[in-house]
Amino acid sequence: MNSSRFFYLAATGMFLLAALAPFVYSGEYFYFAAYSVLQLILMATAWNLLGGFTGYVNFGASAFFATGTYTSIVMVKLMAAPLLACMLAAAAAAALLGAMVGYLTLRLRGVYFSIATLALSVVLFTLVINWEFVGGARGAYVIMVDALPPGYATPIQLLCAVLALQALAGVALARAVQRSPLGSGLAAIRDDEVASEALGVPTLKMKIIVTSLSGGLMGLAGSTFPHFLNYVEPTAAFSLTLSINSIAVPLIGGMHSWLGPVVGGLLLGSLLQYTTVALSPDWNLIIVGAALLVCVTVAPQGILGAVEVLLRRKRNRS
Amino acid sequence: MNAPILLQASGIVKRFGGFVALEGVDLDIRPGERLGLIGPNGSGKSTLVNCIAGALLADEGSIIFDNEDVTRFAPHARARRGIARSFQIPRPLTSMTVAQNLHVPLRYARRPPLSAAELADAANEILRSVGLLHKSAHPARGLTQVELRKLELARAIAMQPRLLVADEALAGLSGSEIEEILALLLGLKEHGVAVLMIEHIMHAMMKFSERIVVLMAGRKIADGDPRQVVQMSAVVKAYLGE
Repeated sequence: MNSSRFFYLAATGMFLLAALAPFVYSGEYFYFAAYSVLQLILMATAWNLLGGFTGYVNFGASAFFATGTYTSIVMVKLMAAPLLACMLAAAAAAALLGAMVGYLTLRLRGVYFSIATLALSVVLFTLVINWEFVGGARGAYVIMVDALPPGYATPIQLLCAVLALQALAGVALARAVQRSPLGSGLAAIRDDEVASEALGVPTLKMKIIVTSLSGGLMGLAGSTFPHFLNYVEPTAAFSLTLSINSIAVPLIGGMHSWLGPVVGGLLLGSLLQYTTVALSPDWNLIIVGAALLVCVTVAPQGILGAVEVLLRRKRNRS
Repeated sequence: MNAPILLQASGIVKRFGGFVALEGVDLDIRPGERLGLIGPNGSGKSTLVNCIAGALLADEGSIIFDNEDVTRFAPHARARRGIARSFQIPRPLTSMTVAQNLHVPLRYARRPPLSAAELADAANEILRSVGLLHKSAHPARGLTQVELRKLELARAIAMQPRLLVADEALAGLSGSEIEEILALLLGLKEHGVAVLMIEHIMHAMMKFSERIVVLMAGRKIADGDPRQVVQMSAVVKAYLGE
């Protein structure tokens, strides 16, 4: 069986697992936790398209996430839009924001780009807290208008299945990008942008494509957030923790492959959910910090990089 | 001498703030010609080369390549039209293997696009011709200085250029290594590739160049047969002083 067929079979299997789970198990916390882990995987996968594949560190992941969240809120407030319409509009709005950030890369590289993305998130946050229509600093209430499909007991169960689909679509997209000519062009940009341009790589076009894809996926991740919480305040949508976790996950899992954010997201996401319950949510940042420290010293190329090194050693020995 | 002109740069002006790096430089290159560009440090050689390859945009003047005005084109657009360059300090793509370093220009600069099999064959063929085939699967970051120089040239050759701009391709090499790289550059003539070379090593330059252009403080002060140019009093003065 070739690797692509295996990937799509496994992805379909995982989606079915998420979609059919409510028929056999209804514990609310499980779906809540699964949603959070899947959201982390999707955010990390989206971040990694730009950060890991292309070498541009986005410190404002929450700006794109919140763009998705607030587009959803506007859609619901304006026209009581169903979930699918919210998702599409949110992804489109965040992709547009991504394209604009792509143009920034014309002038801003390295740490200056990172600072600009951080600033972007502050600017958007300030806009939102002063925007009465979406609730300003008080926040907004959102009730999902869609009817639950038969077999689903709560909206959380449905949203968990939806996020599973989004995350799998995001991972499939990242995998397709990595294996396409676009992926090799992005890797060239990451290694040396000036040299890539001289070798015929249309760097600006590629960066705009990838910032749009990355932004769109983050917007998608944010689109169901209001439906999930029913009440969103700006500090939750523009959470710095979310921006940091989106960076930490690929660093821990491995940045040079689509699989890194998946592995890192499953591990870190589950760990965070566990400590939230077993200790307290306040431990989360300490856990992320400790995991990053361990990773940077023991496995600088992430878990996948460390596994690769081990495999290579084993092969050389035999 | 009435062969068609491949590249015609006219009246190139480039300023960096108040400093004028190029003050209206004209430069013609004919197909397959080997042109040497010399001048003291700071005379504007690299700036001119960057204006031709597109890394810098000229403030004034025009660059016509193969009857097309490329003055405002991005570097990748010029690369696709046949202007390749190698860098003064080699710029390998360090996360990739040597072969993958060639796949990038083969994939992005070659029109029509190559199939996957053609791409691999072409990469191997070029690596063989520059003597790097045995390093094909090695990471590019582990190469020696002379191997990096070869990789720079291999990547440029992979673009099937009509003009190669070689910015100090010999810098930092030993005597035998210089001969090796020079032989590669001379071999390009067979493929009809014109080469514009910047170099400080004069014996290599005299051997290589069919014509030499001398820049001095952003102006062209000589242009012609290498043996005559190096005896011109203005050139001697530029290098040695009064």
